[in-house]
Amino acid sequence: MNRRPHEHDQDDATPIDEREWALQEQALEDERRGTPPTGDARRLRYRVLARRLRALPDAALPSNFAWRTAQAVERRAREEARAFMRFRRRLYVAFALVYAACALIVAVLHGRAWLPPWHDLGDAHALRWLFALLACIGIGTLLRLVRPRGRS
Amino acid sequence: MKPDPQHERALVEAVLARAPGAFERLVREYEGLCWHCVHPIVRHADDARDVCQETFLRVFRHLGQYRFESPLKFWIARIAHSIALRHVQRERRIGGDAVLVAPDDDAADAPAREDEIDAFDFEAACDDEAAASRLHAAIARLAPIQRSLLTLYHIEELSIPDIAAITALPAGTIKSHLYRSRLRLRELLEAPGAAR
Repeated sequence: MNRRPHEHDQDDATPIDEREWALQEQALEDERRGTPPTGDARRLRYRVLARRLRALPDAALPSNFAWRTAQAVERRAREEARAFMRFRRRLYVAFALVYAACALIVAVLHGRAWLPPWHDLGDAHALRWLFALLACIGIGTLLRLVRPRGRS
Repeated sequence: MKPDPQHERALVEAVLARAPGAFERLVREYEGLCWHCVHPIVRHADDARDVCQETFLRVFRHLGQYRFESPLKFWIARIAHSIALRHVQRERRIGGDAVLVAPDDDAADAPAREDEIDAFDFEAACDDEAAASRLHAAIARLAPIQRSLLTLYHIEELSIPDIAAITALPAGTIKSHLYRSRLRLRELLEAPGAAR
């Protein structure tokens, strides 16, 4: 594809005068290298501009920004980790409750079918104590999950 | 300054391993670049500081996803640039009038004639405080993207491909913005006392 000599290969089709661009770049290079100020007036004006741009009065970050940011970030990370732990614990409890509810429903619906054979295993009194023991273990496990870690 | 991949990898691994002081070191190393990405776009110093802090918070959260495919400074600068742009867009929605890219100026389409000859006193121009304040005012009036590109190119001394990697702008667009901004500012230096 043919291009006009002063048109630069660019995406937004804005024409750039390549000689002017070269002056801008030469002036920037002159300023970076600190060469003696010579050349045409436009190039020197671009050099003044380059110097001014480098010396722009600029509000800056406070000197302890890095320390403060690191502190803030670590504090937030700790808070997020704690929030995640809380969420995970609640999720476990919710799952445990759902499983318990399902087990209860199954027991209510089908319990009659398998309770009589259990009765045959021993006396009803001993079976009640067995259920009580299982309930204690279950409640104890749930309480351990709900209680935050590190607290005795 | 050319990025040192080994140094960057060591720093990233130290932060990921939660080594004491590692993240503070990372912030100290890149806070200047972050500021130069954020401040020309956001402009208000307090907001720019908040955006810088948000940038580093995001860096901390997502550092595990950094794959060393590009220098760390570009990865951080990309995050800073996008958060700054989002901040300005949010401010504009709330009621500000920030224009991210200034409309083209006809004057910028007409570079000075090649045969233009004028006497120019370089040292006097460098010391001309009135011209300097006019220039600063004109820079402040540039669109945020143009200010940002000038800062990254002139102060951070990044190349156009590097800036393209950070801003996701096509290299030609970046060159066009730089060209037009500098042309406009140079014209300002040609007309002492003329408010533009």
